[in-house]
Formats: sequence, C-alpha cells, structure tokens
Amino acid sequence: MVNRLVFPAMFSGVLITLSVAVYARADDLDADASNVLYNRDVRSILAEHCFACHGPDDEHREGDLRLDIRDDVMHAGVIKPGDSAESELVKRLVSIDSDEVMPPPESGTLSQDEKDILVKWIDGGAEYQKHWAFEPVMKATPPRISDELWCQNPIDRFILKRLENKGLRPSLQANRAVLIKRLYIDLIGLLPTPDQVDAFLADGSATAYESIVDELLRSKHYGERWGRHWLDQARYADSNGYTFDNARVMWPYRDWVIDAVNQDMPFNEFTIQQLAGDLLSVPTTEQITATGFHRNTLINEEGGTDAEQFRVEAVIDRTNTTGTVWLALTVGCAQCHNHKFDPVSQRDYYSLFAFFNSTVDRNNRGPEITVRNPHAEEIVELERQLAALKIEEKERGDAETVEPRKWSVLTPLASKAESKARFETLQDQSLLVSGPNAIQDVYDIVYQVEKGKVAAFQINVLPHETLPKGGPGRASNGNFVMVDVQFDDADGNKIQLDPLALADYSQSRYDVSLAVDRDLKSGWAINTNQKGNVSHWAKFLLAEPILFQKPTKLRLRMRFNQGTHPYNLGRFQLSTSPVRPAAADLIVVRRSALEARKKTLEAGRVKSMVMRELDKPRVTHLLTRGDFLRPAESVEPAVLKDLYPWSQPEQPVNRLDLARWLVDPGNPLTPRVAVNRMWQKFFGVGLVETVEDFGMQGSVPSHAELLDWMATEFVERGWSRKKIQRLIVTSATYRQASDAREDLQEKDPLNRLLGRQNRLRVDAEIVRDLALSASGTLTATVGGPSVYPPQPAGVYAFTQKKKNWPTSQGPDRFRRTMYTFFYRSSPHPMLTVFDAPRFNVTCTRRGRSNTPLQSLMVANDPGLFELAEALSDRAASEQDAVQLRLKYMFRLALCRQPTPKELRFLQDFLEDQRGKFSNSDTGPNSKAVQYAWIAVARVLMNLDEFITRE
Amino acid sequence: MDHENEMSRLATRRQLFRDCGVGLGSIALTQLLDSSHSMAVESSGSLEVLHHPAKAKNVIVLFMAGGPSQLEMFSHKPKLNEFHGKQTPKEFIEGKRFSFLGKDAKLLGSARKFKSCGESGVQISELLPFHQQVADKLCFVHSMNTDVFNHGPAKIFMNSGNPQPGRPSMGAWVTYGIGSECENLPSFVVLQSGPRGPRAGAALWSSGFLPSKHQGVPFRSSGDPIVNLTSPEKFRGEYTRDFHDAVAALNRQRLQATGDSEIETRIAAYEMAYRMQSSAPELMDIGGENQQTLDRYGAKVGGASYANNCLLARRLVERGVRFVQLYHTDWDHHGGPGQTLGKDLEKCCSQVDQASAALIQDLEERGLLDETLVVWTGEFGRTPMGETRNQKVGGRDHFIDAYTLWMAGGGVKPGISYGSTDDLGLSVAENPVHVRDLHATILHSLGIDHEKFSVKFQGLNMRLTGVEEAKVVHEILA
Repeated sequence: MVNRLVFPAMFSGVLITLSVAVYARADDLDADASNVLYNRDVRSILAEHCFACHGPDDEHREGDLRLDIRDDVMHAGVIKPGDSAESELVKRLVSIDSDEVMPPPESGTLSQDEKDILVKWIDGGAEYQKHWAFEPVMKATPPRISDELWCQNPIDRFILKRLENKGLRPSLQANRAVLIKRLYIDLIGLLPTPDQVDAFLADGSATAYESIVDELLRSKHYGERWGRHWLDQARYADSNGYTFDNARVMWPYRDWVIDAVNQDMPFNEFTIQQLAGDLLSVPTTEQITATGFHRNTLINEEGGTDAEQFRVEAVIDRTNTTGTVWLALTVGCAQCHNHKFDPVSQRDYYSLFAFFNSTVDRNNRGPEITVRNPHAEEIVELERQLAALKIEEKERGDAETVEPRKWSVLTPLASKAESKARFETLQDQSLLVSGPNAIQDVYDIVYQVEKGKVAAFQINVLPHETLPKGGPGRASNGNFVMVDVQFDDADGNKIQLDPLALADYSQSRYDVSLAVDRDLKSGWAINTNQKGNVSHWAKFLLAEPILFQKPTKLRLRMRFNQGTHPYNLGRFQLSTSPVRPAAADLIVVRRSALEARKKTLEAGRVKSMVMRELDKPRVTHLLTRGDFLRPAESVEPAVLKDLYPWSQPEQPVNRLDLARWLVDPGNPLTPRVAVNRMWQKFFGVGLVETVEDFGMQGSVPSHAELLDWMATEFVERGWSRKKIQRLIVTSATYRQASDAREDLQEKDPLNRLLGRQNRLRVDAEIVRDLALSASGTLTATVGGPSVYPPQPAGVYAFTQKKKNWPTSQGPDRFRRTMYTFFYRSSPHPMLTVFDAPRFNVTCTRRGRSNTPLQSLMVANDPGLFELAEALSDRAASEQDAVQLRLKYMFRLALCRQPTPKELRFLQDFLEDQRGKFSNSDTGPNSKAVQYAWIAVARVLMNLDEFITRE
Repeated sequence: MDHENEMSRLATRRQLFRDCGVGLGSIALTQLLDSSHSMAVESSGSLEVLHHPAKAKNVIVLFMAGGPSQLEMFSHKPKLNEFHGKQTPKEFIEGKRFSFLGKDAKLLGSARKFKSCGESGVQISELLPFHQQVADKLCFVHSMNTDVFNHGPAKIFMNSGNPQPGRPSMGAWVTYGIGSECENLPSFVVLQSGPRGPRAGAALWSSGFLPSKHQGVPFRSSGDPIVNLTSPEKFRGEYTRDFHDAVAALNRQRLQATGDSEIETRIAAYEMAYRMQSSAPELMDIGGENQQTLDRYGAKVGGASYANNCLLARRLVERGVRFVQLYHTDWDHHGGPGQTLGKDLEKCCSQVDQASAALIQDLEERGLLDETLVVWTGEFGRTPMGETRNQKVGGRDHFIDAYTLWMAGGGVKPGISYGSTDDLGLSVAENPVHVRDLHATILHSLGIDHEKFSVKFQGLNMRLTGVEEAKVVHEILA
C-alpha cells in the first residue's frame, strides 16, 4: 500500500477504472501521501457509512456508540490508536459474519480503498481534527505538477494538480477579445471600447495583459464594482424598510466604501473602521462615516411600535451580519438555543450581541454625522468673513458712523440703450424710459460729477404713472431685474465696488448684491406684487473712496435680464455720497447677508447615520428563545473564544476589540472567508461553495490548500484585496476559455475542478451598466446622492405607499445602476428581476436565475430600450456604410468581431426590417432606416452573450 | 386598442385549446389517469414516468398569510368556551413555544357560533356562510402541525419544507417533476391580495437549487400583469416575432460556439416571454366572463381582490398552469389594533369566504375540480389561549401544534374531517398530519412518490419532504 502511494503516477494509472467517488479521495491522498488526515480523508467515509447510527443524532443512535467524537470512541474502546489490527472497528469492517459486519449488509459496504484509509488512519494514531474551517490556516506549499509551462502563478499549481489527478487537461487560454472583456466586466463592470480592444489585440508585449489588469485596478470604476460587492454584505439601501419604508440618507457611507476600495484600504483597516471607526482615538469624519455599515439596519416607523423591540432586532441583525460577513458562521442559529453544529452557544451569541448593544440609536435615525457639503469651502470662507466683521465692528467704533446728511444728485448728460429705448430727464434729474422694451437691455448713462470725494453711489428706482402698474420697472407688473451695475470714470477705468451692496428691499433670491457679483444671470429685483409699486434705493460702496480734484464725468451702465420677458428699469436717479453709510448699519446689513447665505448653504449639507456608544453601556441579557421580553442572566461582551483565542484586553471591551479580534492574522476564518468571496466573483462559485457558511453544515472546499495558501498570502500581503485579485486574474486558471468540453462535462459536470472558466450571467446592475457603456451614454460620475433612472409603470401596485420617484433627466439618468435609489419594499424591477437582493439582511451570494421576466425586461423596458436607441445612434455617428456600421455596433455591444455567419444574418435582418418599416412609414420623413437600425441594436443587447461574462 | 393587444386577443382565443391542450376537454387527464400505457409525462418534467397514476394534475393553494384562527372558523370547541378565562393547564404550557404568550396565558373561548353543515355535518362557523354551503365538497384536516412559529420561517417551511430560505418551493418541485401543460404561461403563478405582500416574499415561490425557470412568477392583478410585458412602440405586432426570431437565431449560433446549456435556457426564456406577451393579457382580462360568474366570486372587472384572484386561478388551471398560489394577507390576529378576532377577522373572512367557495363550485361545474387539488391553509393556526394586547384579550398567538386546513378536488375525499384535537384544541388527539405529510400527500395526488423524488444537491439527496419521516395521508384520498 505505502509503496503504491509513493508512486502516484502508477497509482493513478491503476485507478482509472475505479469509481469517481474513490477517485476523488485518491486525489487528495496524492497531495500528501505520507499521512491520512481526519478532515480530508476520514470524516467523509465515517459520515457516509457510520454516522447515521453512530453520529450526533441522539434519536437514531445505535448501541450507544458515536464515532464522531474521539473521547466517546476511546471510551467505548472500539479504536486502539496505532493498532488497527486490535481495533474492534476494523474487525467489524472486515468481518464475514453477517451479524457482526459493519455497516450491516443491507446498508452497503466500504470499498477496499476506504477500508485502507481507515486502517492507515488508526495505525497513524486515529487523530481527530476540528472542523476544517476552525483549524488554523496553514500555508500550503504549491504542489508539484507535470506541466510547469501552463502555470502563471502558484494558484495554477493547486488547480492543475487536481485536474491532473483526474486525468484532465485545463482549457486553452480564452481568445484575447474575450479576455479583455472578461477583465473589464470583472474588475470595473463596464465594457472596453472597440479601440481599447484593438489596442490590446495589437499589443504583442509580454506584459500586455498585466498592464490592462493594472490599469483597471487603478480605475475609479474598480471601487464602484467591488464596492458594490461589499455593499451587498453591508445590506446598504436608501430606505428604512418594513412597511413604511421611507427614504434615508446613507449614500455617504456607500461613497466611503467606493473610496476605500479604490484606495485598496487594507481589509483589516477596512474592517476596523466600519465596525468601530467611532471608537478610534480622535476619529476622522471618514472613519465615523464608515460605521454606517451597521446603521444599514431597518427602522420601523409604523405607529405603535415598541422602539426597544426593533432596537433589539437591529442589534440581532448586527450580530448575525458580523458573523456571516467576517466569519461565515450562522451565529443567528444560537439566538434561541445553542448552535446544533458549530461551536456557538447561546451564551456566546449574547456575548457577541453585547458588543452592539450599547449604541445610541433606537429604531430611529439616531446619531448622524455631517459628512459633506458641496459648498463646504464657501461656508468656511463665510465664517471667516463673519469673524472678520466682528473684529471690524469692534475696532471701528464710531469713527465713521456719520450717515451722510445729504446725497448729491447727479445730472445726466447723455443716455442710450442697446434697445434704442428713449430717455427723458425729469425735474428731479431722474431718467424716465420709454419706447422699445427688449427682453434684455443695457442702459449707458453719462453723468456730471462735481469735485470732491465719492465713497458711495445710490440708485433710486422711482415709480411713474407712465410705467406699467406705475413702475418703477417696465415689466408688466412694474418690476425689473438688474443683473449688473458698473461705474466707469472719465478715463474709462472701471471703479471697483464692494461686493456687498445695500438696498432698502430686495426680492427673495434677488438680493441687490447679485447686481455686482459679475454673474449676468443673477440680479436685483423688488417683487412689486408683494411690496407694491413704490420707490426703493440701492447703495453701492466703492472699494476705495475716490477724490475728484475737479468736476468730471462718470458713466453708469446697468444691465437688465430676466430671461424670458422684458424686465427693464423705468425710472431712476443717481446720487453720490462722500462717506460710506454708517459702519454699524453696514456691518449689520453685511452680517445678516452673510448669515443668510451661510444658512442657505448649510441646508445643502449631508448627514449620514453612524454608530455611537452610550455614555453608560446597557447591561446585556441572554434573551430566552430570542425574545426581548424575556431577559435571563446578564452577559459581558466577549468574542467566540472557542473559535480563536482572545488575548483579553482590559475591561471594558467594546466593538473596537471585537473588530481587532476578527482581523487578527491568526483568526482562522476571516482571511479564508474574504479570499473565498473574491474567488467566487471571478469564477461564479467559491472554493467553498457556501460562502455564507463555513460551519459544519457548509460545503467543504474544493481546493482546501489553495484556499489556505491564498488566505496566507492575503494576510502577508497586508490584507490587500487588489494584490489577491491581481493574483487571481493573472493566473492561467482564470484566463482559460469558458467553452464547454465533453470530457469535463462527463467527469466534472459542475466544473468544480476548474478545467475551464465559467460563463456567468452578470449581476443586475451590470446588465444595465453594459448597456450604458455600449451605447456611450454612461455618466461616469462616481458617488453622490442616489438617482432615479426611468422605471416601468405600476411598480408600486403592491406597496403600502407610492414612492417618490422623480425620474432623473440629463446626466443623472445615465449613472451607473449602483446609484439607482433603492427602496427596500419596492426596488427598481430591473434589479429584482436579475436577482439583486432586497438588502433586509446581509447577502454574500446572489442568485443567478434565467427567466422569461428577464427577457421581457431587456426586450421592452423603456429605460433599456432608450439605450438600444442610443447604441444605434452611436454606431450611426461613427460609421456610415452598412457593413461597417453593423460590425461597429456589434463590437460596441459584444467587444468582438462578428463571425461571417453572424454578420450575414444581421445584414439580412436589417434589410428585412428596413423593408417592413418602409411599407408602414413612408414619405420624405420616413424613419424606416432608423427604426431598422434600432431593431438591430435591440437584438444585440438582448443576446445571451451581451449579459454574460464569458 | 393597439395592434399587439388586438393580435394577442385573436391569437390566444384560437390558440388556447391548441397550445395548452387542456381547456374544457380533459384529454390529457384522461390519458394520464385511465390509460396505463400513457403514464409518461408529456411535457418537460424531470420524471420520465409518474410513480403511480395521478389523481390530480394541477394545484391551487389558497394561502391565508398570518395564520388564520381555526377556533373561530373550523374547529368547534364547546369545552374551550366552558373553560374560558381559566388558567391553561401547566403540563400543557411546559416546553411549548409561542412567540408572544407568557406562561400565565388564560384560555379564550370562541365567540363564534358554529353550524353543522351539509350531509357530512361538519362544523363551520358563522364567519363563513359560503363555506357552509360547500361543506360537502371539502375535506378538513383538523390535526395539522408544523415546526416553526414565526411568520417568515413558517411560511417558508410550509412552502419548501425548510424554515430557512433557499430551498425549492412546492410549486417549483411540482413543475420540475411533471413539467407544464401550457407553453404560453409560466407553469407556476403567484397572485396576491390583501394590504401587503406576504412576509418572506419571493423566498416563498423560489426555485431554490432547481432550475430557475421553475420559480413562481408573481402576476399583478390589475394593469399589465407583468412588468414590461408590452413591446416598445413601433416594435409591436410582427416586429415582436421578428425580434424574437433574430435573438433566438443568434443565441443558437453562440450556443454552438460555446456549448453552454445556459444559452438554451435563455432561448427558452425568450420564447416563453414572447408567448406571455399575448397570453398574459388575455388571461387577466376577465371581461369575457359572464356576469353570473363574476357575481358568484364577487369579482369585478378591472378590480384587484382575492375574489378576482380566485377567478384568475380557475382561468390559470383552465389553461394548463400547473401550480397556482394565492396569498391573502393579513390573518395575524393577535388582538392589537387591526388584529382583533372581532371585526378584523370578520373582514378577512368576508374577503375570502365567498370567492373560495365559488372557486370550488366553478371548478366542479367546469369539470376541473377532479383534476385540480385545492388547498386552503395558513402557515400555522392560533392558540386556544388568549393574547393580551393593549390591556385587552382580543386575539390569539401563533400556534403550531394543532390547526385546521381544508382541501378539495383532485382525488381528495369530499365531505370528511380527518384528525382531531383534544377538547380544548391544545394538542392533536388522533391522526396528526405534519406539514411534511401534507407535502407527501400533495405529491402523491400528482402521481409522485415523495421518497423517490429527489435531487442531488451538495452531496445530499434533497427532497421536498426532507430527511425526516413523512407519510402520505391515504385516509383522505379517494
């Protein structure tokens, strides 16, 4: 036996005739022939043949013997470690007495190889192991394989080893067009342009592939794609959930994730900030924002709810989510009773629960942080000005407080208007306007000024009976909109004005200062509907007073523009003052203007929900059967020590300690769980298929040693997700073609050995994102408030409340789908139909269904159809000739050249459609050709290949 | 009316019998039941032959979401009234699980009057006058019990035999096993009525690890039944067919190139989508039903109600849809505001009583009841103990140990009661029927042996009835 095992090649030759099940086990033996391991080799044999009657199930246990616990086995004496011949278990296995032999004859029998394994295991000491996932991560040595040339990096050795053992060859590398498209979709969720594909195809250098990988890992869209994967786990959504499901603001947290992923924030850091950023010493706004992770829990706003009940539910969800996301443990099972399979007692559960049980939020928005304001800089500037005003007020005292007793009225010398409006000088030296009344106008008036000092101008706007409603303006209601005021001296030099102007009255949002802000779209108006057709004044202060040594001329230019109707001034008078208006008044006016502006700007701030600890922690009780109304004994916060020891920090412990324990390099679960989830995204299935459950009930890894090897690399490479992903996508395993192969289909129908890549239908968001990128309509903006792309009618037929859905126009209509506003009770149908979860609880693995409803969605959804139209337009704008345009459109959508057969088919289809549309849509403005092209674009976007990563 | 709808109306009227092969005639059924050599399942089920002759070929589940109170409707307990307000016997409370009740809960008699109905003399309460009239067509099971006492898990358990989401639901298992006889509509359709959708939502009609085409398709009961059913303007009528042909042709080319069977599924999905574009609106248009039929159900053209859904259920099975499930919320009568056993329960009953009875009668008159198994159930029942909310005893808590459901048609004995509970309704006295037994029985009536009907998943042979013992309740089968 031993001799055979050390010659694996010979051994495998012998084995070809044996059954698949035995074969699989032999593979593993090959990996390490010298010893038999309980988890790898023995457990499955015992489970298959023995545990039904001699396992954990108390009810069906026979002969009071269980074989799954070493102590019990030793106690019963059925195994003598190191001596299989003297072990009752082996005797029973080989017995020929039908009353003695085990398993009983009617229950089948063990194969010779299985028996050999048990013998060898007992001879080796019959060592049991903990469940594989609870054993420490052991860095495996990449195995030796026969085809060194195929391997790009160590990942490939692990994969190839199992394939070789099974007599299988890996698939050829996918063709380069498929490769680049695969990378784009997997790393950023968008399509490469035909130019980008061409450049890659033309790049013969050895590093062509790697440079695309690096470029994509640097792309800002990488953070969106991989941030989205994380947001699934964070159960991020834009509403509160339950039946009311009102909107909430959590997108700053979403943006934090995107940003952190783009920066490749180490996963340990990433963990700590989200679970306990608020508990770091002197946390930054970003670190506090990160704690939004656990504020993505639901809030029940129904009347008559018990806030405590839903607070407890949120804490339960935080506990369970933490267990699933970092440990892949179904800790929630222990909410009501000890976990039946995994080492989590009910007490453990509530000790974990206790970490989350002392936050301030209580089924409400709770603590929030102001995370962002697009006007933040201006607000800082306003605050600076307000502070300066305060000082100015103090310093100035009464020095310049003398209000000028008399304003000197100036005499107009010449006047003209762009519109050729006419001016008449009245007795009080005011000008009355008549004649043409244009939609916008500029008045240009020259005044006589006497010698002396000028520190301020005053424009009086005056009513007059000839004006509409009595004026002072010439708009139908007597108003005007003065968008600019400018004074020039006799030499034509512009006189600098203080940016703050004063008026006895300004219409809301038409403050007088807007007439001197250099923005020709904003200006001063007086709302005659409210204030009546009465006179008003505006004062414009010179930045520096001017001393005129002799009489001279002064030019006033005023510009009027409301946009759609004439809003020109009808009568006005100009005067000057040698002193500024009273400083105190000025400061008051100035301050109120600044404060008003600041208030307006501050309304634009964004607050995001965050975690905050109570000053005095709550006492946590074990809840009988999970019922918050039935507290039992109290418990202290503690981690799952049986899983991985904890160097108990000084009391009291908090979330920060939990977070640190989770990402301790020795934690057996966190790194395995994290790399497995990454793997899942690149191959469709994790090395451990149950990415959400690494416990006893979960599936076993297809490549346990590869998983451990990657987990070790992950920690050693500073918890860098980009580095692990780079490893994965540069492996030969990843680069294989995804085409089906008969031999693989037969021996490995689920493709768990990865003798080829998998074809994977893309995620819900990416279905539309691909359409956006193929059609060239994508708005590439990263982050910001969620948006409202078009959605089909009737979405709210079954919700309690009709949601506000102000369909986005302009660029926001074409944002990436991850920015689509997500109401938990009624998500955009595009998302649910393609298996996006509802984010009531964490999601680590999305379904990938294939249904008629999806077909209807892509075929008919107005929001997607308009992208098919855009794809048609885009191709039309680039290529004129039919064949070229067809090819180009095909490449925009599918990133490869059409086969001659496909091209011929599309050309016929185009012709056929054009012909039909021409029959129904005739005349000089016929859109038949355009429709036919849209029909082609629509077909392309509906192909299986379009929504599939190949 | 636009061209496409017009086309669809014309086409589907014509195609109804041709494509669905069911309609009024029961040719397919006859073959299935009577002719031993034609037990092969015609359509695309995974079972090559049925395990035994089927009694039924379609299933309609009327799901009363929230847990209807058997004690106010079907389970007459004079003793409970006698002991009203008394402490519940300790030995009973020990070890029992409730979601809200404490150990000091007191027994709550029923305020409802019961009447002995029909020849069978089965007791039905005043809340259900229409049920009283069809009593002889119903088969009551008074000894139902389940494992889980929270709504979501219990609903998932009732549908999939497992309390966590992720397993295939009954409808998915059935259509997976014996396929569909209608190519124009999904084989498994879900309708809902009441103030909100059922808790746990799509997990209740999930296909789990079975192919996704077996998942239930929710139909909205008014407007476009399915989102995006209508082709874009200018691309309707013949352009819709052209579009689908082109997509299929190119998908087939890619299928040849890659060999990925998922593309076949995609092609089938598009074909089904195309057929649904005409058949779904036709299905939902109940305007063609005569007034007598509408009135019998209490259905209204253009309305959305349980009554409309019952009528739609008949139209669905008429068209060969294999599995139809109606959810009606909300039956969770704990006693708080909106949850009383008084007017709130009365409202629920009045919403479902007439239409449920009408469905049975209508199916029977059309010769469809023999081949259609109708199941009326909740995810659990309600406690004989009263629950106090807002200082008032106005309701009952969730109860998993003994509750009532009824079945009709599809080879079930009419006018019988099976199983019983003790005098207080606290536990099953005889012939317990677990949810797993119900599953086994439903499968049995469809010609499926639940023990032989399994799918290998993650190394285990998965069955609807799971690993624990489940028995077919032969006693209720004709």
